[in-house]
Amino acid sequence: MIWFYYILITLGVFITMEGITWCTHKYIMHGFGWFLHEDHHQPGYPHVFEKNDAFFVVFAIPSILLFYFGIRPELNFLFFIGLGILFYGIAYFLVHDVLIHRRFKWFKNTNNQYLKGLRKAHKIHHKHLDKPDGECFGMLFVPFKYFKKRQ
Amino acid sequence: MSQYLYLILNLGSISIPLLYSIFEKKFHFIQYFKIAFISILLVAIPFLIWDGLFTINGIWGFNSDYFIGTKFFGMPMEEWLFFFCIPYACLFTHEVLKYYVPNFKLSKSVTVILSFLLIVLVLLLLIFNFGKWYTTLNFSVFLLLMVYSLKYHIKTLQEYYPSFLVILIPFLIVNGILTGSFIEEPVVWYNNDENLGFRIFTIPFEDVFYAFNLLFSIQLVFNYLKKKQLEK
Ligand SMILES: [Zn+2]
Ligand SMILES: [Zn+2]
Ligand SMILES: [Zn+2]
Repeated sequence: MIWFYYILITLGVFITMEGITWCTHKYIMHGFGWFLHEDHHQPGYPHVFEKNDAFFVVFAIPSILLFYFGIRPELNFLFFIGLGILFYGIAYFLVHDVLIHRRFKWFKNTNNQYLKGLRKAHKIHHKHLDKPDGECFGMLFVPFKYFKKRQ
Repeated sequence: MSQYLYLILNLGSISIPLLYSIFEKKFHFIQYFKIAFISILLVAIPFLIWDGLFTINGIWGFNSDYFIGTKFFGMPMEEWLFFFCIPYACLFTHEVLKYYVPNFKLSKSVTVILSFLLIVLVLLLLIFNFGKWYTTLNFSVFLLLMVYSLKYHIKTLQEYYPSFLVILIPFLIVNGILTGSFIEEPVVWYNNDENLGFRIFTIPFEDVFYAFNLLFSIQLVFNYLKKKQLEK
């Protein structure tokens, strides 16, 4: 039975992370953290890494701590919170960095409506080059209009 | 008789692939014999050093009942042969599969997701068992190999995952015998303080990743040399 709760925790954290990321993106990355996020909104990526990648490190720290305390003195729920964050991080990376920004040549020709919708929505987000403007801060969940087939 | 066991396992593994490479005219794997040997040798060097260090330090060892008795640098001759016979059989298996069933591969997205799941699994096991020598070294090599291959050799991964599942069948049999299935004592024993202590039948869980590290590295070198040979 305990495993059922552990799976629920992992899933719950995964979903919650979308909300946390939305807020972080809107109020921190496009707020006082803009100096780190700014280069991500400039067209073209001359370097392997962007300053924006620092946010991956920021989100990795709580995850690592949760793993650390999640097995001390024995396996407990903190571990699965960490796992939820890790899985979200991977999903975010695969969608945002691979699918949308093509930093790796992995999913080139996807025909999936959902993935195409995500791509469209994030492209809209990137239309704005300056900090105060912004829309579509979500990553895995974006307004339904983007999922509709082209009229 | 039992002192021939390890030798027989080696020769048994390589015999059919070798005979088939020589006498089969259509697929004609013998044309790649030289580059196969070079790739196997290049990868065998670091793995033999690793093996030697682990043997000296008692992380694993060999049961003298099952090998002839000739040793080089503390390791039985049969163990040296292992790094040539088994890889040849596996290299051959993958190439045959690729030749006769060219569509036997995973899609790119499935490969990426599967790789990430493996990375998470191995990373977590590594974090919790850091300091156990076999686990630590083996999983670190696996993670490096994985990250490198995801960036530069995704196509090879797509082809290799399904082949590896096929290769795992003889691997489980041969390695099963080596670790003590069907026989009284293991041919190769492991110090359980230096691994996870989790066994598939009698095989340490890490061995699956060890096999992947060894065989996939050879495959990468082989593919590179094969491409060069075909360009000529
Ligand atoms: Zn933004
Ligand atoms: Zn973006
Ligand atoms: Zn953005």
